[in-house]
Amino acid sequence: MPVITKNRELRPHTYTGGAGNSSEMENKFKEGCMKNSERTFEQALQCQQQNSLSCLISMEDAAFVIHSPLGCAGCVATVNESYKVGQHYAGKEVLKNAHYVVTNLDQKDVILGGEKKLRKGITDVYNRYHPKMIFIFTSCASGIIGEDIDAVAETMQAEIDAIIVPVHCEGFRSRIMSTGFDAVFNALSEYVLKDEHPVTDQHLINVFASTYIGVPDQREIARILAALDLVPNFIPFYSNYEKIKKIPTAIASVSLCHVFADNFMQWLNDQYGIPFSVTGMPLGTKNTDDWLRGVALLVGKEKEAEEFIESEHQRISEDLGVLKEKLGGKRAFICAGSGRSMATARLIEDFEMKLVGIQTPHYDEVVAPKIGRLIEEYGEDFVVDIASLQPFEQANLIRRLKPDVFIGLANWASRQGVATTHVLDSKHITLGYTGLVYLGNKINDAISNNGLNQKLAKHRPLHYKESWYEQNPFQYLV
Amino acid sequence: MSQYIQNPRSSCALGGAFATVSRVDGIIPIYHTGPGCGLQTASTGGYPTNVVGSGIPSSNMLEKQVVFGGINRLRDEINGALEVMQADLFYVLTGCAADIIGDNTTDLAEEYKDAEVPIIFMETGGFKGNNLVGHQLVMESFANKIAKKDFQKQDNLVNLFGIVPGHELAWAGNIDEITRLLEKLGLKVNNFFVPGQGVASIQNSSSAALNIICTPWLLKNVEKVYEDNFNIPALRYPGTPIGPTATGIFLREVGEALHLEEALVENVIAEEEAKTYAYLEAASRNLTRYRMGIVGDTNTIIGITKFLANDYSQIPVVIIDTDDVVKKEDKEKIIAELTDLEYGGTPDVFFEGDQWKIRDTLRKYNLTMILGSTYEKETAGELGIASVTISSPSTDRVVLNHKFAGYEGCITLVEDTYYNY
Repeated sequence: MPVITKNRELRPHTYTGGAGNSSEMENKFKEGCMKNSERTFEQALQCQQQNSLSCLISMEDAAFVIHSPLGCAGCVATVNESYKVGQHYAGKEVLKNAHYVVTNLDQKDVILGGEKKLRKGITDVYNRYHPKMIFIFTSCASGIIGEDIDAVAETMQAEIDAIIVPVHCEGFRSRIMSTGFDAVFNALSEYVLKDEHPVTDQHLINVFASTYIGVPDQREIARILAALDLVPNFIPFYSNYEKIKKIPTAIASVSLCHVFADNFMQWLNDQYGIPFSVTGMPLGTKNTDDWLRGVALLVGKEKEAEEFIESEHQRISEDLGVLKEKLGGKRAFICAGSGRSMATARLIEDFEMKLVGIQTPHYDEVVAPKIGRLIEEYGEDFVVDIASLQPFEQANLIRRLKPDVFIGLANWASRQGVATTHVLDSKHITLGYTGLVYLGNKINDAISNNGLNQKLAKHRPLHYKESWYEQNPFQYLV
Repeated sequence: MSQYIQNPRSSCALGGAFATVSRVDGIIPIYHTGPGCGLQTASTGGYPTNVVGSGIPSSNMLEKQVVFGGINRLRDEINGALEVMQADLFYVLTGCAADIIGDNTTDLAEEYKDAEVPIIFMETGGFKGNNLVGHQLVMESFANKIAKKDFQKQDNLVNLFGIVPGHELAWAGNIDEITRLLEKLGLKVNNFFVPGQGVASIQNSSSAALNIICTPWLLKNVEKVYEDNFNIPALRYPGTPIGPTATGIFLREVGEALHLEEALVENVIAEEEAKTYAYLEAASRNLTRYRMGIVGDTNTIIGITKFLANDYSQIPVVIIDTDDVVKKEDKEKIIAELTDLEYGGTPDVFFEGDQWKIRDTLRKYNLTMILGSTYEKETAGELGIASVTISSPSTDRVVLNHKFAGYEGCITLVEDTYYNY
């Protein structure tokens, strides 16, 4: 049976379009009268196939076959670079490329089918690298013409000594890119993990980390978990077959992002009785405290956690004091994936900054209480835009809200003159208590010299009509 | 039939179309594609573009549109783009999903023929071919749909084609350098893609006296349209001219084709050569000779090989053309260019885009340096030899206006190949 993943938008109370004042949104959500909106005009989204690909591409003993025209592997060159950056920071001397083959579907294949090329791609990539796993990814083209990748995987499995894992991730199927993460974990549980009879390792904890958690952050998380006498099994970035096979032996599971591996952790709990904790990305003291307490509760190490938290707070208090002085009262706008944007909104509380607006790709039962908590902790309202980027809405909002700093994907905001920076950084520690100080300084650096953005605003303004900035930013939401 | 490719270096037809239209100031693409095509096609091909991937207006076709058709969704999208986006021209580009289900954009184009901003519709589904297919389709539509039908010949106006945006790694800098040299000959240059040129340069392209087409095999369709419709002859230079010898030949050919005064051309060459050889002399003081493997697109490898062999005493041993060159006569022409060298011997030439086979081929030779894409760093690392990124994809170095072409470009290439550790 093909493993078809349920779209994220089909989860209860999930919204992919909408906007307004935070309390208004939160009340509507609570009262169950929130309405999902669609945009009659919108800009390009990220598709689930990109998430499936980026999720797995760093698996060091795997190979990949993307059943698509060439363009659907466009992002992989970039993800390949992240993989190499990871290898570099892990101290590898020769940096390997990810081994992926694109079937290069053409006009003929679209009519007659591309199964032959897919088979040849699988056979050849196996003979070239003898990987332990071969992942096959679908695309809009292979999905619409109805290529049966499951049948190919099944028949070829008899001939090939690597586990062949079909991942159904056609871009057109889901509006929420995170569905692509679920597709990967569903495929892993069905094809790689089934029939395991594990012996529990009392010290091992699964730590599910999405693509952009770099090696320095993995090290910092390992340091934090050592305080609870735990050793992390990071999945799936910079991971391998052996680490995947170890998943069922862990004593607990936790994720570094609330949208990542949540259903999979539930499955591990149902299947193997592995307890798990879902909090949020450990960015800043509050998120990190919650995250660590969540883990501690699973393994009965609450006391150790509290001691560690206290000593870490102590350790950074002086640095944090300096950062508060510099950043206190600065107004921020945040745009990132739902996990990172919610976590960042709480991170900047540490610096006593103010939140004026936030974009999140979706709003659901996990995001809603986080928004509620932000309203409570800030004691003030802010704008919430349920949008997967949508820079035209963002540009309009930035013009209105005039933040001091924009935190997130800044390709656009930088051309509006606002100071911009990102909390996503795979070369430094961004998570936990150490990361907090690094990010505070990074935000302050952005504010300290914003000359380039000021000049870009003058010389390279965005391609929106001046009249657009006078319109309601949400007028295309219906 | 096309083959699968390991670690491909190029995008699909949609990607090539995007890389082309988005480099012209004032053109905004509108995608009628699946939701991920914007980011996928914009994440290759370097800078600068008018819109980055997440900013492309896109119908984001989902299951509903795939099943019931996406024309109504596209109509809304175009209406929104007309209201929100500041553009001189829109290009509606379709992706695989729209083309496979057969959304009829021709009828829709009719509805918008009097739109306040002109809109051009093109079918560019990824399965139609690679980025070079997309580039050539768009270039042909520039000639057919944008170039002015009522034109007045300008003797000193030339069009510069063949250096493909986003395909050749140093495309922007290369176009800049060639343009600089042509301007020194007293010419005005339409190159379409360098910031500042814009849609007007495409409109004026029908007035040119000459099409200078720097590629041995691409853009035959475009050459024909300009000849047939606008009576513009073409001068084909096989590749990107790099270094004093090749660039001198190039400039003399341009001079002859346009009947420029010989003294003018020779003066420009002499002035540039004096400067260039002064730097090359400085470089010769610590010259290291490398036995080189050179991997990349046709234009880059031809230009770089000629310069390094003829002007800089390097030894090209094996050259791999990663373009999807199919026709025998094209291959022969390219091989002839790569093997007819003044110095440095005769390298072996292969046509191969698959990373495994490229690595396999390189390993058969006794090399001391690899010039290629970021992918070749792995092979160079395994062999313990030097490497420089000179072709796409480049993810280990940022390339904005870096140039290899002409006189100035060859000096930056020399700087790039200096290697200590």
